[in-house]
Amino acid sequence: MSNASIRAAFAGTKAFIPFVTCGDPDLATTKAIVRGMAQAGADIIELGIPFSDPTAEGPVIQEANVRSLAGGTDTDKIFEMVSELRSGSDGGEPVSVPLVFMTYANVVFHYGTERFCERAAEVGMDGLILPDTPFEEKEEFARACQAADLAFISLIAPTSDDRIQMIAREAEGFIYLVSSMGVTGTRSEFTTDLDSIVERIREVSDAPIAIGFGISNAQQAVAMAQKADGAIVGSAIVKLVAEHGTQAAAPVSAFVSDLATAVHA
Amino acid sequence: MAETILDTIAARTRQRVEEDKQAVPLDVMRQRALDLARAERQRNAAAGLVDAAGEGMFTFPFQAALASKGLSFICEAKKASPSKGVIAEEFDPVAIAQAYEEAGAAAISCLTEPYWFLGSDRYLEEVCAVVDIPVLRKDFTVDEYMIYQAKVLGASAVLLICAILDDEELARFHHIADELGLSVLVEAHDGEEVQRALAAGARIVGVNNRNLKDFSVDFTNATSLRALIPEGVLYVAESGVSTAEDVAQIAASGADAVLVGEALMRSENIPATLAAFQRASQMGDRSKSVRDKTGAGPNLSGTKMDPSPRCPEQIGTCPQSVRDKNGPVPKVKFCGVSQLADVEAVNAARPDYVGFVFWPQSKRAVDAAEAEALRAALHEDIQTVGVFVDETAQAIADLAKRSIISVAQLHGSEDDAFIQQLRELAPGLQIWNAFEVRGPAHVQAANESSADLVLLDAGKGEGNTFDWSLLKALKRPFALAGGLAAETVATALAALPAGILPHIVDVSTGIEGTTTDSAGRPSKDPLKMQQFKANLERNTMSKGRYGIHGGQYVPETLMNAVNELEEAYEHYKNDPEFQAELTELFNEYAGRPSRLYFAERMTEDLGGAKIYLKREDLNHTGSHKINNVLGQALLAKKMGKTRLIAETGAGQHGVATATAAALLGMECEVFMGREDTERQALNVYKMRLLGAQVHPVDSGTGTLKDAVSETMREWTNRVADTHYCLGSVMGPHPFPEIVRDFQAVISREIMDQCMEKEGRLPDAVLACVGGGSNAIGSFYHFIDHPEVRLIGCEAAGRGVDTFETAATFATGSLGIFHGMKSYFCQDEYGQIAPVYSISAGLDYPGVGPEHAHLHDIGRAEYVPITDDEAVEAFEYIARTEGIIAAIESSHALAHAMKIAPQMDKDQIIVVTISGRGDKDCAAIARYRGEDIHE
Repeated sequence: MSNASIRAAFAGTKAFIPFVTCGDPDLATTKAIVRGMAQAGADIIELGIPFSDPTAEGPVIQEANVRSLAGGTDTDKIFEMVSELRSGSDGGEPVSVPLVFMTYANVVFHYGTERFCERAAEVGMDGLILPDTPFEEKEEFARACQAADLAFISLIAPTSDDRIQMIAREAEGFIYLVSSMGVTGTRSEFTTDLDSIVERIREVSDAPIAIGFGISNAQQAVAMAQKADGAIVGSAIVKLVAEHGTQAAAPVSAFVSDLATAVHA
Repeated sequence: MAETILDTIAARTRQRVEEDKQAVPLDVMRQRALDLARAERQRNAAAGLVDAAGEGMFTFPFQAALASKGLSFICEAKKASPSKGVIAEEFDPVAIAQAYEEAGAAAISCLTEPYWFLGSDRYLEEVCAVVDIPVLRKDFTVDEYMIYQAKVLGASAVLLICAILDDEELARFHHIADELGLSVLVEAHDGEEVQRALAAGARIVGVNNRNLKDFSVDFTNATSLRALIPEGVLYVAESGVSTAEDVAQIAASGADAVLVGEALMRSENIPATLAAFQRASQMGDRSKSVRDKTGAGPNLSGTKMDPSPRCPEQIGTCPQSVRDKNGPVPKVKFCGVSQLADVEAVNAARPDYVGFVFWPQSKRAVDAAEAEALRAALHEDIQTVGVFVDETAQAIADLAKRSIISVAQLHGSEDDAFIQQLRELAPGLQIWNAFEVRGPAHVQAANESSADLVLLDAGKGEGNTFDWSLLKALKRPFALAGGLAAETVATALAALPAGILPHIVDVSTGIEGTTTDSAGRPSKDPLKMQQFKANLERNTMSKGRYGIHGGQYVPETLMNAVNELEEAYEHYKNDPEFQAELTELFNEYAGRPSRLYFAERMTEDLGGAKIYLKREDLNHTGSHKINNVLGQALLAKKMGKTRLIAETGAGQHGVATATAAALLGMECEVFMGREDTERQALNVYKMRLLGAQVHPVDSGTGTLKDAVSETMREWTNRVADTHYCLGSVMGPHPFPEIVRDFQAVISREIMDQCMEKEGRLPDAVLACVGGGSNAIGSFYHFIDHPEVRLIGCEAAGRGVDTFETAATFATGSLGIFHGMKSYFCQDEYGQIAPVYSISAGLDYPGVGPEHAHLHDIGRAEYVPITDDEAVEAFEYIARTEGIIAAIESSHALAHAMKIAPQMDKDQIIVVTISGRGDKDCAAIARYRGEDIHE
């Protein structure tokens, strides 16, 4: 059960959730990075499927999308990669931590929403995050996810206000709490009153809450995980990949190890 | 002028009035009428109906009856007419009126003209005394005396015929009627008379399809005159209605009411005929059911042909036939309920209907005793339906008599004779007839069934086993059954042809669990029943849908911002102050209305249809963009926003936004693809000159789509004080609606101007389509006039068979991007494709959702135009008419050049020149090999 495996990742610990854009710069590197993250203590891993026009991303992840697509990455190749990661059929270590996709509605819709979800479940994915699909539009995706036993993970934003509880009530997997306004990317400070949002979520839902957007170091990760149940780090990792290219697995692994250890402590 | 029959009748009527005055003098009649009116106001005051001054008000019941939802029927009682002679030998007006009332007429029209129509004042008096619905005195009012008389006889309304009254009389008689609380149906035959009616203060205008000067019928007349009737004035189609098709056509034309006489007088079965007409109207009047029919209160403007822009007063009250937003939620029927153990859960889920299957072979069969017990246990609001296969009429009638069922649903080989028999045995029992739809013949049979409702069975098991498009031919409300379940109901409804929604959805297997009772009958699952209803309601929850297109696919961070915008817009679009301010800006600042110019030289040269150019290029800032921008900037200001952000392609929208920001004292930042800032350097300078900041966008392809993405990102970053002034009919709801409403002024003006110049609507309206704002603005008010072809011209670039194209309809596919579901140019994995066109304004990989829907339902055509064709048109219009049109608009001109020669000389084409072409001169020169730079 996907919901169960995701919930289990939060059981008895604060969760650390790293993100990587698949195929940046190529899928072999992504595989190495994911295995490294799993070994370094990641509790759940977010796999970004690149999209040509990622409107919720800052420049760091936008560029990763461009690099990945330029390298010929496509959705089918990513499914294949996940299948290899899960089974170890490529000779590598099988990965058992929960994996969730993060991509845009059109990537899923154009593939065929049901077909996408079935395929994702088949290769061993546990959940799906669509940042451009709000509560009102989630039905067609959530239904297909449910049928395939994938958790459709909802986002709550600093501006959600009266929408917080409506979203939380129907939350599956975990709740992705957006730390601040704007798009993904690193930030030096967080001004949102996250505590009160968490409190309002807790009133209606026992789904674990992970905070993401802008977290770039151990100190911030710990602070955010303390406020909720886990922390998500994306752009800081993607930046490392941009720097180290095909050699990124080792530095990413070291970085994830630092943050995971800090969050788990 | 030769004397017409109308003049003859009018003259005879004057004589009749003089005779009547001998019996009861004018003063006496007036006093009686005034007394009645005063008493009425006092009664109303006592009931709490008082005006601002504390005086009792009139309720104008006739007008109110016509203003109610749906096409209203005014049923006429008349013995004879000059064109048909005696219609009813045995004429009992009271019985007829009662039959009308019972059959659901909104009002009654009673002829009192005694010589040609064999009417009588006595008939009117008697009819008024026995019916509760309002009655119109149908006579040739030529003297104020007749109005007082109508009041005294008990009428609620009088008729004024433009053709026999001068302007002074029209206005004076209307005023007298107003003072008596009588509604006035003002009858007109042509555009001029409609104008006169409106000038006289008409709130109800009737267009007579029969020309009373010679009694010929011109049925299409009414449809074209409809365009002249402003919102807030009720429109009645009169005469010449004999079939259900006529009614459907009238309903589709947007009429508020129809006056039916002879067809009913000659009917053997008035209720059945009227019911058939009502069904036909429900199919035809989808446009009207969502229109604001507030006919109460005085006319908004006395001079309909006033060429001032109409947009502000039209916002939100425009015809909305293609909008499905907030469509009604179908009623729910749970079928095959067989066990008392399920009743509690059924009551909790509260369907509208519960079905009992009385067919013994069914595995859900119940007998009469079981059904009776179930009925008693079910909530009283739930209606019960008996499902039968070739049962005897007597057995069904018995169940109805025992109140076990109120509906009979027939699945066997029952024919119309059986239905007739059942009606006689069980009056009051609703009869539904089930059809399996396998082909057009089945739809035809469903159309012809005399049952109250048809139930279409999609067949057993999962999936759509019938071709949904067949439903387009169905002309009546229907229930949908077969293969539905909680998980599939939303998708099943979404798959129906646009605008077609079942009246009832019927589910049986889909709400059953895995257990059975001792008789082996499956039980209903409480959760599935709840989910079925919830999902059905949820299906209508997603906002801003145009068929399957539209919606709000934006990050959660923006959801409250778009909701806030929607709320503000809903408020201000009805705010007279807002509208007045916007009208002022349109007229005094932007220079509206724009001209509708007859391109005589182009017309002559092409040798076909007459070509008119709608000159949006003459607006301030040189394009249609200013319409939308002034509206949105004003709205943003009212919302307390201090900063505007916008995307721009060619720079037209950026310049317009910077202009509005300067005018209204707001901050402005414009996002523009790097490549476009270089292609359109002059516009970048203009924006800076106007005080805006311009941000070149490097991401993606550095063109319009990337500018949109970047502006959205900026909005998520700073939303509290910022309004995103989106430049086209795209993006998340409510943008496609807001932008369309502000641009709809274009088609409103075209309509008025074309009526003024040509006395009729154009045969085709052409506009270029990128996102589609000038096109939707040009099309909008014609959408409900199917006789007007709407043609959108999209940019094919170097050709639709190349990769260098921006032709979304020709090369795109369904997708979700930039906040909306619509058509997009994309690859097999849904990656948005880079697009190309010589025109920076059409260089966008998607199209607005309303266009996508108009395309789906076949209401508008979309054609690709290449760079070469557009450049040729650009040069042609400059040479031929001395107009330098934008390269975007030149796409529409190019298509006009193709079709005009194939059209007749008396046909009319309108082409919207969306902007001026100065900005394009250097690029076109370079395209032709001249090395020119700005």
